Amino acid sequence: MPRVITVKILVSFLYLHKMRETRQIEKQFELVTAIKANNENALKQLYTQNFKKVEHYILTNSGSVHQAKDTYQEAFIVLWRNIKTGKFEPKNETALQGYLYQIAKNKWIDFLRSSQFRKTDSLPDNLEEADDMAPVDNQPKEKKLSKVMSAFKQLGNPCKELLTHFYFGKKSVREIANTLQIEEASARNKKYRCMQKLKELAISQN
Amino acid sequence: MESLDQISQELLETIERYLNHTMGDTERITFMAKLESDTTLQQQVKDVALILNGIETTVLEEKMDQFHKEIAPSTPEKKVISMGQKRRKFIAYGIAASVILALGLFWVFNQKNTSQKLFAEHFSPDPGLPTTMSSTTNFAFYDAMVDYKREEYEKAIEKWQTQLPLKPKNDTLNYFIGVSYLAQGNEYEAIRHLNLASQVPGSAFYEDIFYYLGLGHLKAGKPEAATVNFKLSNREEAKEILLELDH
Repeated sequence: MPRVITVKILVSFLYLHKMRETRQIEKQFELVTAIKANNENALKQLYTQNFKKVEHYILTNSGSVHQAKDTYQEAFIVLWRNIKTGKFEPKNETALQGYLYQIAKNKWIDFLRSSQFRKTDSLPDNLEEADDMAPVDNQPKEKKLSKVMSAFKQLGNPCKELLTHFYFGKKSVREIANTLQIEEASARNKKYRCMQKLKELAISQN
Repeated sequence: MESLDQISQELLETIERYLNHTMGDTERITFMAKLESDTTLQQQVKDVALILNGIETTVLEEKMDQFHKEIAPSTPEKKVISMGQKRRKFIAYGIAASVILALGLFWVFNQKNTSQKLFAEHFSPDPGLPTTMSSTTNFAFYDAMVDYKREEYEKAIEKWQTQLPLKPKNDTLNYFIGVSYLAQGNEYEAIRHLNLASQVPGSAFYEDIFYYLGLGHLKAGKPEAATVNFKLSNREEAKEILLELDH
C-alpha cells in the first residue's frame, strides 16, 4: 500500500513539474509574440533583465563597461530581428534569455579575434569557438540600411513621430488619426508624404 | 531605393500589407503571382522592407538607450545615515565653527578650492588591466579588477585588501587600491597606498603612480606637494595640470 502512495506522489510531482515547464514555455511564446509586436514593456523587461550577465562576461574577458553595452545592444538587435523573421522559436523555458546571452558572447569572441583587438592585446587562451548564430553581415544591405537609419534620424519630428507610431508602434491609421485629431485620409496622406521624404533623404545619403 | 521613385500611395500600402501579412487570401494570391514575374515589383518590395526595417531598428536603438538608463548603475549608492538630534546639534556647532574658520582662513580655503577644482576637472580612474580570469593563476586579483571596472570600488578595495598582507609592498596592488580610494574620494588612504607603490624601483606604473599622487595631493588641497609629484610623471595630463597650477 505505501508503495502505491509513493508512486502516486511521484506521478503527481512529475505531472506538476511538467505543467510548470509547459507554463514557462507558454510564457516564452507570449514574450515572443509581444516582441514581434514591439511591445515596449516586453522589450524593456527582456533588455534590463539580461544585461548584467552579459556585462559580467565581457568585463571578465578584457572588455570595458562601454564595450559591454555596445555588444549587448548589437546582440539585442540580432535577437529582435531573428524573432521577427521567425528564425528563432523558443524550445525551452529560458530559451530567449539563453539565446541573447549566446549571441552577445559570440559577438564578443568575434571582436577579441578581430585584428582591431589583436593590435593592442594578446588573445585570451580560454576562448571557446564562436557558434555561427549571428547572421553573417551582408555588407551592401547593411550599408543601405544604415543610410535609411541616418535618414530617419534627420527627419523632422512630426514625420518621425508619425512613422514611429505606424511602423514601430503598429498603430492603425485610424488610431493615429484619432491621436492627431485629423481625418483618416489626411493621416494616410501624411504618412505617404513622410515616407517619400524619408526615401529621398536616404537616397541623398553618401 | 530608386525603385520607389514613382511609387503610388496605393502600391506602397499594398506592399506594406504584403510585408505585414495582413492581405486577404485572394489579394495575396494575385499579388504573389504578379511578384513572380515582375522584377520591378520585386525590387520595390525589397526597398520598402528595407525602409521599414530601418525605421524600426532606429526606434529600437533609441528605446534601448532609454532602457539602459533604468538598469541600476554598477556604482553602489552612497549610504544615507540617519541623524539623531545630538548629531544635528553637533553639526550645527560644527557649521558655526566652520564659518568662523572660513572667515579667518579665507586665503587657505581659496587655494584649496582651486586645487580641488583642478582635481575634479582632471581625475578619471585608470581604465584597469585586461581581465581574462580563467587563463590566469591570479584569480583573486582579477576578480577584484572586474569590480573595479564596474566602478564598484568598495568591493574592489575589500578584495584587494585581503591580498595585501601577503604582498604588502606590491606596486600593482597598492596602485589600484590607491586609485580606487581616490575614486571614492578618500585621498588620504589613496596617498598612503600610492606612496607604498612608488617605493618599488622600476615599477611599470611609475608615471601613473606619480600622476595619481599629484591628483591625490590636489584633492587634499596641497598644490605644492601635487606639483612635486606631477613633475615626476611624464604623463601629458601631468604637464597640463602643472601649466594650470602655474597660472
